[in-house]
Amino acid sequence: MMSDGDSRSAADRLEMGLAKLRESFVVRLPERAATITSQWKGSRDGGWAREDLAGLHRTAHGLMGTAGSLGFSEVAEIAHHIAHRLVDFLDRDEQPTPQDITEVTLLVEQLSEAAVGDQARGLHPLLRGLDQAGLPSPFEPRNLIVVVEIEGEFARELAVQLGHFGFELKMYERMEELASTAGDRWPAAVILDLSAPVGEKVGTDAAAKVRETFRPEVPVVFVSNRSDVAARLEAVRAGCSGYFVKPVDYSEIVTTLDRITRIEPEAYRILIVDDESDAAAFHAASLEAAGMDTVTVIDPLQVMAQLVEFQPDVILMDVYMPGCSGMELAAVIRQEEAFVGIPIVFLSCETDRMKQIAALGEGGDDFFPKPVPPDQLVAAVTARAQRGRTLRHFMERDGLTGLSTHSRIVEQLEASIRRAARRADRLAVAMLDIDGFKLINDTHGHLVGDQVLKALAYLLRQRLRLSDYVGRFGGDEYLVVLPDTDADSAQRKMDDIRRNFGAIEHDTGDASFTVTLSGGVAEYPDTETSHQLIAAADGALYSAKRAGRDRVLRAESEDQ
Amino acid sequence: MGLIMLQRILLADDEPDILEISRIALETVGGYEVTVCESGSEFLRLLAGFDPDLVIIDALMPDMNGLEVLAAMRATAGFEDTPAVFLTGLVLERDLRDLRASGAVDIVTKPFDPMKLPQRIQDIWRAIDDE
Repeated sequence: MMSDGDSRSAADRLEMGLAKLRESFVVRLPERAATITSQWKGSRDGGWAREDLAGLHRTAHGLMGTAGSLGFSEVAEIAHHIAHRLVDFLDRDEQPTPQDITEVTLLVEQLSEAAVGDQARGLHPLLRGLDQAGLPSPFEPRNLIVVVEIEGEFARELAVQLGHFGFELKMYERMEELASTAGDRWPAAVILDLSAPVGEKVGTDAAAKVRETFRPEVPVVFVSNRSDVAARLEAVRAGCSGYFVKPVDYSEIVTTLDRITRIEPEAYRILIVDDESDAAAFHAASLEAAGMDTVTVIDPLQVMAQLVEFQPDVILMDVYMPGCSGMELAAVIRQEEAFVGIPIVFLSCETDRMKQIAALGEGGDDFFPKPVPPDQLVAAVTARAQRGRTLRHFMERDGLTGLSTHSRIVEQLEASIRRAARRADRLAVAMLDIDGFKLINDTHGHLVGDQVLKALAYLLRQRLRLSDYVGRFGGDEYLVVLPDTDADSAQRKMDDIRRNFGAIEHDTGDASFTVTLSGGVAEYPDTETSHQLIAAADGALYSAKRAGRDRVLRAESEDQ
Repeated sequence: MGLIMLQRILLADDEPDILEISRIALETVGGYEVTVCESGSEFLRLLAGFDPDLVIIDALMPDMNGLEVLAAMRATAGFEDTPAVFLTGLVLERDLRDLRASGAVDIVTKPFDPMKLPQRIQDIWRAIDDE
């Protein structure tokens, strides 16, 4: 239809047209935010008349669509929240509660700020997004999967099953169509069909094409009807991240996609203990330049508090300090079971090899004579932090589901409560339980039961925010901690997840079945301690079970 | 059905910016002939004169909602079967269900990436052809 040259220049012209639109949009943006503010105030003054609220909904909704399509993702997201809250009011057909009003007022204020901020920056938000993260995308960028040359029933089923886990699939029937996606959102992974005759570097060529279209590091997964070594070898040579033989087990694909699309872990946290503030500042600057987070403690006796608060991946410590030596401090740290796994790197002017070795004997992991060249420091600390995280991963992760263990999720809950208390935030806790799990094990066997447990774990990880915590609390019970979230939103979110989970087809080999789950939600500070929160969520879960399962209920707050 | 090539698209949305984005995208990249309007009543007025192959209707407009516009189009002689695509920022399953049940061929959700809108419409058109 169109030659490549034509479509490229058309894309250029479109981009120019869009750039002009963005310019004029950004100029009018504060004005549009002001309209929303005045509509909101008007609704309030008019006693929340339905038509006022409906009008405001339309305005917010319209702004969301335009801002999002033009790449102003922050404004779009806030407008989206406002529109969403208004749908709630309109649905319930009740007066907004004081809490609703506060919430929307805050959102409206945020919108004005974001609008003014965007105007002040006055430039291409899409390009800005590109510069920052390399991922220009309005919402949840890590769930887009591109599927090439897979058709028919299998493609549909793949879309449905992966859809339950929150993945969005884009299908291309032919490899050639990929070219037209340049400039699109980048996918988190690409699935290719490798059923074509193998041997002519088909897979390698296809993978190369995909990488050229998107980016060199995009993960590629193959599905194929060949299980022979030659085919697998070719897939390996093509640098694929997964290889599945048809008929594929969807839960296996989900496992792989979950692994390869997970967002890069947060920055390493390094605790620096040094009584010389200049030296500490120098080391902190070197490590931060390499993208790590640091906290410096000048007084060694403050270390224990920071270990709990900051949860460092590595401790970088001076050997000679007033009050107590680094070696003594290391020994104290190692007495606490929770801190046994944190690597300690000593720094000192000490050049005597024997004394260095003695320092390591006290639980230090490495020793560097000062001054350390910054690149060496960064390399050593990175290696230690990596290994420390891997070790901790095994200690703190449930072997089957990869979620936090029981004790870890309770720790995470407690840390989240402390953070919420400090910031006067809310926090929600949800307890989920698979309905009739014992029966699944009895009917289909433990392997199938495990598969169900894993499916829920992947679904949770996929659908929750990076800042949320999920743990396997007991057999088939999962505890979710949602910072900065009220019980209503948590209940909605969990209910969404409940619906998705109920639609997943679990495979028994010759048949498939579906499973439901029940959940209970509680909120801090309505309920204060971790014990009480868990008990309240558990109580609500119990009520959900008694009310007939397959639902998520809220704990009654104590003052009601 | 051996469908003809997609040429004319009539598009209604009360957001002027969305109209402009879509128009530029569909015209420059898609190569389609596009007429746009800002309301349902305007849409119905333009319908017969422009004779679109496919229509795109915003689900939420002040004067008429998308479902009403679609129903009115279906009641217009010659446009009983014209493929309709809804454009919507609605995300509630309930609303989407109503839109799907209306007989529209597809739903494009806002915000969308303008760069890929023409391809999306092309895919939708091809899918009708396959049926």
